Amino acid sequence: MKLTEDEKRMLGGEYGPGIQKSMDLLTKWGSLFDAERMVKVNSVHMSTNAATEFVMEMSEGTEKARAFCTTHAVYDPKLWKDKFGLVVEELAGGYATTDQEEFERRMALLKKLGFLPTFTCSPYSIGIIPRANDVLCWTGSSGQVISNSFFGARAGRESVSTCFAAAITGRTPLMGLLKKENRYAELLVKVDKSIDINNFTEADYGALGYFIGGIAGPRNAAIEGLPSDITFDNGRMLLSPLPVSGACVMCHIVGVTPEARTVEEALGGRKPESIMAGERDIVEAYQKLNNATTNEVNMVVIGCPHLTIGDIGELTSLIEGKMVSQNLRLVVGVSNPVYTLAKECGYTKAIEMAGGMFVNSCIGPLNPFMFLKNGVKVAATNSARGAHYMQRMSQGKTKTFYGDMRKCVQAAIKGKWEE
Amino acid sequence: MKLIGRTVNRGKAKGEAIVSRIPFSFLGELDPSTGKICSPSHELFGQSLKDKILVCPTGKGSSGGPNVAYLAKKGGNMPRAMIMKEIEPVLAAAILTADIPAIDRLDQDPLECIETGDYLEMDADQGIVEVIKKNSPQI
Repeated sequence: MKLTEDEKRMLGGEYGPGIQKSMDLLTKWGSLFDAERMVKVNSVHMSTNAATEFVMEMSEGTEKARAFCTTHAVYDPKLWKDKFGLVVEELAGGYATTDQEEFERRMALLKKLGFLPTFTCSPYSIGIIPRANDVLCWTGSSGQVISNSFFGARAGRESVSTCFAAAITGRTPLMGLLKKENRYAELLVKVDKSIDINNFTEADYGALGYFIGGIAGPRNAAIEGLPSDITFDNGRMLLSPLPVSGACVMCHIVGVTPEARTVEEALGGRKPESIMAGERDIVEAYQKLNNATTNEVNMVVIGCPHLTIGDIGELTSLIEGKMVSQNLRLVVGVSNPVYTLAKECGYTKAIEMAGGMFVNSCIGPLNPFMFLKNGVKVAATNSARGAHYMQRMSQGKTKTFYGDMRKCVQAAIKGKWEE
Repeated sequence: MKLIGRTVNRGKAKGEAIVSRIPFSFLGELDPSTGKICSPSHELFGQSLKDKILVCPTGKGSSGGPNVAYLAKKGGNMPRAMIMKEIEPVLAAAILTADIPAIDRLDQDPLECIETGDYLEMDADQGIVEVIKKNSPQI
């Protein structure tokens, strides 16, 4: 791999052992995927589940990270203990530490290096919006697919160790989706006229995305036939299931994605497989996401990915003055900064008065209530990604209902899902 | 039998093969504190990878994989080495982070040639794997 003089100095150890190790990891990693050179990184967004010892080792001798760095959604043990009186020993999938001291020790190190404690899966919801062609090293596949597809930024398949190395060096190998030639669509999805797109709710969009992800697998996709004025909130519900029903993190929305003003632009002269998405596909996606058999609901989850302030306003108008059923929990996934703004707006008071609970910083559907001894039998959500997660992370113990926010709020009030 | 492939990470290792027929993710599948496969739906559930040589088609899954590999290595619970048909970025990062010898792109399909229990001698610097079948008179 061709390195600049400065990158050679990093690899040679002139800036200390942490930068040296980080650059060593990145050059070896890049070489395996035929990267010819490094590029500067505009933004790092990292899951904080990196081992503390690893963070120390890779940053030894480094004062500040060389990139703009934010942190992913997290389980904050103190918040759970203080707010809900809950001490959780085990979380599914080992996605976070449950040890408060360890969490604080690691965050102190990261903050000293310049990482912002954003604790969110949706950096865009707090104003961290990448520009087209920005190079991102982001963990969290919903952030990746939305950044690539809505903003036209360049986010590749990342891991926590390569993300941290990118933070320390400010560099990442030019490979995968960072290269234009790897971003063209390999599957074209045409939205059939049978779909009433003008009346699509966010859940309909999520079902469409869930269907497309399943067909795309790891391939890049393009969707033709969606309104070019699709709202951001609908766009992100369409995109966020793509990496969970498949492994797709690049999906051109023709007429919306900056690099896909036309179908031709999205395809880059290629002729990939082309399919139609029709009403039947949407119905089938709904069936997969609705696997509950009794009407009784134990938990309603809104906020996967973390809610934008607009979503919270909508939730407030649906629930204000009503009361959540005593038999269930209404869980709202949100970042701390958006929560603070929602508080200023009076939204949090209205939602909490109605019986809703904000689970700040945590991945909404993977909230610790899910992993209590008796678990959750039936959960309802307006997130296709969230329903998919809950069915699987509970190892099948949690069944789900899936529908738009209006339906979910209705279920929260009645304690039942009604078609 | 000798297989030749590409160096993913340098080093030498000898040990017993354990074969996963499905793509592997360290996060969610390996318990770093024991070295055992912890996902109940996995074909190797309950079996230990510690000091074995893991053979699998490729990687999959969450970006947290390298962290699990790092913790397993520190705890002495990592496989000694890995052989894949074709590497993928997150699994590659896990291998490099834990720094174990690894080879991919072999001249024959490792999932066809290697079975759980076979004895392997790997020179990842040269990209060479010597396979000694478990029913072979050599051991």
